[in-house]
Amino acid sequence: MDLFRRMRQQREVNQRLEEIRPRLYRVAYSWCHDPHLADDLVQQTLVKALQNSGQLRDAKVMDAWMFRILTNCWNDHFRRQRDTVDIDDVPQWHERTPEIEHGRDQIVARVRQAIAALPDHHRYVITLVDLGGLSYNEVAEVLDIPLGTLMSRVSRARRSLKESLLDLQPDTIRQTAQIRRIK
Amino acid sequence: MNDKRDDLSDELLNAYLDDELDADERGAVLDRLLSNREVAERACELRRVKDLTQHAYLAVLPPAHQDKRRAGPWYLNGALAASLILACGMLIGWFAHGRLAPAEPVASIVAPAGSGIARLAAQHGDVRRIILHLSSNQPEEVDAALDEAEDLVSTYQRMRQKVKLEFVANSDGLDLLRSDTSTHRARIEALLKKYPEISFLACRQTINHLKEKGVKVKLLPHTEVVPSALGQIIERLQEGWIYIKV
Repeated sequence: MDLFRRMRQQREVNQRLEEIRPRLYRVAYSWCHDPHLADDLVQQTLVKALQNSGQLRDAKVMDAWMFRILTNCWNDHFRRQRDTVDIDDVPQWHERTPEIEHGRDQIVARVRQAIAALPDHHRYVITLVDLGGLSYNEVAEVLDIPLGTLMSRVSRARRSLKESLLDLQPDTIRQTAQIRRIK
Repeated sequence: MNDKRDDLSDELLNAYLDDELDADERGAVLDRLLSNREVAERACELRRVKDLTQHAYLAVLPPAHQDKRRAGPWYLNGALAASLILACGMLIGWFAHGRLAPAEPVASIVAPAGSGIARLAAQHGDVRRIILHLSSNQPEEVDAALDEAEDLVSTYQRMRQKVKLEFVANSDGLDLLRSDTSTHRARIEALLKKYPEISFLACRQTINHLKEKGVKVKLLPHTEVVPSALGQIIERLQEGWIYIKV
C-alpha cells in the first residue's frame, strides 16, 4: 500500500512540475533575457528536481524548492562563466527581441529593460514575487535572507521600477489624477 | 479627507498589494487607502508597477519539447515509471557507488531518479545503459569524458556485460563534435570503430544557438542530433539509464 501511496504522491509531483514550468521559465527569462539560456536553466532545474524528488517530503513547499534549484542553477552558470567572461559583459538585455524588432510592444520592451537594469538582488526578489508567484516567506527561503530584508528589497525594487516606468502612458496617469482631484 | 499624515511605509503597502497581510493589517491599510489620497495614489502606482512587470512577461512561455514517442509532457514519461523511480530510489546510491565508484575522480555520478529502475532494467535486458554528458570544452574535461566513456565500455566488455553508452554534448561541449573545432576527431573515430556500443549525440538547441550567432556548424561523421541534450538526459533517466556528468 505504501507503494501506491508513493505512486500517487509522485503523480502529484509530476503534475506540479508541469504546472510550475512556465513560471520557472518566465523567471529564468527575466534574469537572463536569453530564451536559450532560460530554457537550459529550466531543464537543468527539472533534471535536478527529478533526481532529488525523494528529498521532497512536503509537496506544499515544492514551489520554493524548485525556485531554489533554479537559483542554484543560475548561480552555477555564472560560476562556470567567471573564468572567461566578465559578469559585467554578460548582456542582461538582448536588443533583438520580437518586441523591439517589430516595434509592436514598446511598453513590454521598456519594462523588461527596467527589470534588466535592476541590481541583481532587487531583480531576484521582484521576479520571484511577481512572476514566480511565490509568497514573501517562500522567496526569503529561496534566497536565504530574512523577511525584513526581503520586504525592503521588494520596496526598493518597485520604487526603482516606478521611477523608470512612470512616464509610460502619461495620458492615463493624468486622467486618473484629474478624477481624484474632483473627488 | 486628506488631512491624515501619509506615514504608511512602502514595505507595508507592497505587502498589502502582494497579499501578504493578515486580516487585521489588511483592514488597517484599507482604512488608510480610503481616507488618504496620497496613500491611495502611492498604492495605485505600486499596483501599476506590479501589473506592468507581470504584463511584460505574460507572453514568455517555455519552448515546446515535443517528442512523438510520448503523449505526455516532454520530461515526464508516465506516472508509473516516475513512481517506481521514487520507490526504487534507495537502490540508486548503492548501485552507482558499487558499480561506478572508480569514475568519481573525473566524473560526477548523479544519483539518477531511475537508478533503481536502471538496475532492474539492466538486469532484465542484461544491458548496462549509461548517458555521459559533456558541456565543457576544457581540454582536461574533454579528455576525462572520452577516457571515462572508453573505460566504462571496455570494463563492462571485459566482464562480458553488455553495455550501451550515449555521449551527449551541449553548450561548449559541442566543440568536441564539430568538425571545425574538434581536437579529438581521430580518437572519436577510433572509439566508434572499436565500440559500436558508443554513440555521440549533439544538442540541437546548442547548434541553433550557434547558427543564430552566424556560426556554421558541421558535425563529425556519425554524430547524431537530439532536440535537446538535457531533454535527452531527462528521458534517459526516466528510462532507467545511469547519468554521468563530466
